[in-house]
Amino acid sequence: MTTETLLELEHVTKAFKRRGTSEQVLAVDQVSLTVRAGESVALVGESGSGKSTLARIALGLELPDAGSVVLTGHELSTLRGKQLRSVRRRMQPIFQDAGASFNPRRSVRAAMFQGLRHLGSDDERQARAVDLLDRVGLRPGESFLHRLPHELSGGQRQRLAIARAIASDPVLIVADEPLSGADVSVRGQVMNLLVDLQKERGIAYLMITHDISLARSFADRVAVMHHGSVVEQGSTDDVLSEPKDDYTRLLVRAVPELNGPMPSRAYLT
Amino acid sequence: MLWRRPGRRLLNNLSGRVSAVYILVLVIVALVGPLVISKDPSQISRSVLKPPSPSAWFGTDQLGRDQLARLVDGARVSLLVGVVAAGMAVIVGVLVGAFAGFFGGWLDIALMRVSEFFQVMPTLIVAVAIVALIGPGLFNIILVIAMLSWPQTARVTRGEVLRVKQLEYIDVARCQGRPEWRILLREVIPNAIPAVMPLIALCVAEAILQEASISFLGLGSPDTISWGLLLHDGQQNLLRAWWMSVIPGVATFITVLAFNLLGDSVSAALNPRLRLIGRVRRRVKI
Amino acid sequence: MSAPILSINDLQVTYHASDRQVFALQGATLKAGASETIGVVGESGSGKSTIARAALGLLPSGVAEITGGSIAINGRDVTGLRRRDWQPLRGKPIAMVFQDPLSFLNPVMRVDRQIGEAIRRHAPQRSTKDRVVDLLELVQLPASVARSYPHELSGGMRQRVLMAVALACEPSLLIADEPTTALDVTTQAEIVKLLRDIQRTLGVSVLLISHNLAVVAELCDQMYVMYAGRVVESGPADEILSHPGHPYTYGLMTAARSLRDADGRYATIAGDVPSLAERFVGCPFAARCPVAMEHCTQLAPPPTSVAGQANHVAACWHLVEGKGRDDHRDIAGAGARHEGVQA
Repeated sequence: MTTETLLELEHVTKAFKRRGTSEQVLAVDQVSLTVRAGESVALVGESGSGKSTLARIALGLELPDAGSVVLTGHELSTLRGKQLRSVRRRMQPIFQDAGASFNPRRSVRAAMFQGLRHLGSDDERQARAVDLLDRVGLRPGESFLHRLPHELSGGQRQRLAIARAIASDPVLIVADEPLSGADVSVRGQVMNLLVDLQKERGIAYLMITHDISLARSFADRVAVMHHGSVVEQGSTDDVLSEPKDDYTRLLVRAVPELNGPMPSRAYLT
Repeated sequence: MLWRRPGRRLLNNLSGRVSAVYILVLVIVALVGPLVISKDPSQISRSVLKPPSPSAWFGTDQLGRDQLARLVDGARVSLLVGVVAAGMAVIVGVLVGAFAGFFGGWLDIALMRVSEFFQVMPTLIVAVAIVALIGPGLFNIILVIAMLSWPQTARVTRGEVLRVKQLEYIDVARCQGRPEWRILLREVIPNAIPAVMPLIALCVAEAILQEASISFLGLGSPDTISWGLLLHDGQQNLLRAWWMSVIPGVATFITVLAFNLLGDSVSAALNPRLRLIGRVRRRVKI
Repeated sequence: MSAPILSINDLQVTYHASDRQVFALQGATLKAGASETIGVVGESGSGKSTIARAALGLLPSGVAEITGGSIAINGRDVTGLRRRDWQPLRGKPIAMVFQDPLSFLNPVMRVDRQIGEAIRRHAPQRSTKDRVVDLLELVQLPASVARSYPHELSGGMRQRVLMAVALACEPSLLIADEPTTALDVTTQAEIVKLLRDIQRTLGVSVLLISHNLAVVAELCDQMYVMYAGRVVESGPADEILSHPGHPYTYGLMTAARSLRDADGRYATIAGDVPSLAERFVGCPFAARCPVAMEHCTQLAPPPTSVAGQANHVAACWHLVEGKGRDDHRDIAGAGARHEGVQA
């Protein structure tokens, strides 16, 4: 694994005004986090922990009040216009609600073309879009091009979101609860796709999730957020197997898990 | 694709269907009526103030002009004023609302204060004052009506843009490096428009009514036959010739009502909440 | 033995929409006796919520139609009951807790009044004040909550208030439809624990409907696995969890673990969750099943006992035929090979 740093958040702080008052609420408080090339980092926390705000800051969708966001060596806050846009294309989001992450009036083709604008002609784009759709398991790709997002199932939409994200050849994908819209039986399909793409293209992931077991199985490193701060971060094994922080311990213990050995398959015996 | 359903629902709804058919007929009458009716609406004759009869269905006015011909001719002007003024108002309103909602900040504050300024003015009085200042003329009237009716569209658009702009596909477009103005034009506005659709019909109704009011007060151009002008003439002969007031009055009333009903039906056809009642399947978790 | 509180037998429910039909239940059988904890597990579109609604007569009238089977409450057939006649059956003997408490609580009424109303409906003459405090204590909320409005409470607290409202009716069966889904992990654990405590102290039966296998495994003695409008497997929870009889149950259990195999792959089931726009002739899982046989799509398998346990049944042809291990390969392995291919 290379050690090139892709994303570096340093002492990022963001406060929001509580509605109707002048009171400030610290959504993100002095958070530092790095994602290196090809690795998977999980940002774990409950709702209101600030993890989604941090993801939006990392994506450059929200400006931090203090601290810096450095993406592939460029400090985002110093960039403007075209330059900012081209740097930002190297980092793509996958949001939790695959339904809301597509313009309901635009076809799958239009959604895919958005990410393929760097290609020369529509023919090239079309060919590439079909390839990518095939790649994420929406086969045959041609048959999906003229559908509207709401005509797809939850799992298919999430795979479409992945296809769109990889269309602009990102080095980093920020995935915010990518499984929350998918049924349990198809989650593995989405996860395997992410794992495969990492192997094929060396994409790094910053995954925002509340699902400890998912973080444990997927990530190389884990950061646990609580009330806007990272309370613990480190390698997945260290953090989730021997948590040092009280909150992490509480979180790990609270997860209901299917324990015991894998079941035998009765009808085969 | 996305429009087929609302379109069908609109026609499934009785008042929607009736008003749409009425408006369609009215448009056809306004366009081809003058060709079919042989009488010249400005032709003066000696048979003045004749009540409706087989020779003049809607009677004649104080100069012996055929009221049916005048009503049909006036329909064209009333519709033209209604549609053009409403069109201008909607375009201005959508642009102002979209910019205010999307870019926010001081631009939002400034644009919304301006729209409030126009909204709180007593429409008719101001319209009368302005027309009196800049002179009657059809185009002036259209301008004044448009100027006074864009704020409503602007406010609705702004609200809708505020909702749409925090949806995730807008963020996705940003992450794909698309410029803000393109996002506004291609992603935000098309998804905010459905909320504005019902307003268009309501705007037309209001514009027709305002034109009628202005002309009724005698501020329209006397050469341009419009329903307001007919009402104005009728009012002068109210006790002698009831048909001169009642017929254009009823025509105006029904037309304004039809556009209002159409607007309501459009909003019913587009409103997701009402849509659910028609298709409970969606509301029920299966 | 007295009749079970709730007994649903081969129930079939169809929703009629303007442009299509949804066969939400295509033969579901379920029983809830006294002092039991029963879990119903299923993914979206499995019919698990429909079964809960049917049990309370809450199917939307004019849209849903019971096309077959029966529902009985305390031994009385209530299948064709009119809306009005359902009223005395709701709350007692069966009460329900929903996924989203905020939409079931009145936003402008304080908590004590909402609980009080539920008490009065079933015992009009009693004074409610002490009982409200008791109920709040039962759901482990401080008495001060009584004077709050729903919006002042956290998600977990609202869910507890909703439980107190349900328990105010003194039900013998409490149906909880995805009660923890909208909640955080730590709150979720508390609610599950609370449900267990309530079941033990009051002796009510709890019917938990959830997509989360782990939550059901933690709480329930009896378990029903639903797929495409049918119950494909039922029996004691520990039996099912240790010897799943249906390939779907097995697939769901592996998928729910979020574990990766030696190749770093996640367990999954190929294809997509089926829409209920079609009525399945054979086994509804056949299209995604890694061990499906030719006749699986044509003939519906009868419920068959698993591993010789009379109370653990699953509907799979493999159980009927008792085929040997040589004929069928590892399900997980086959699943991985099928993965990504659209059914």
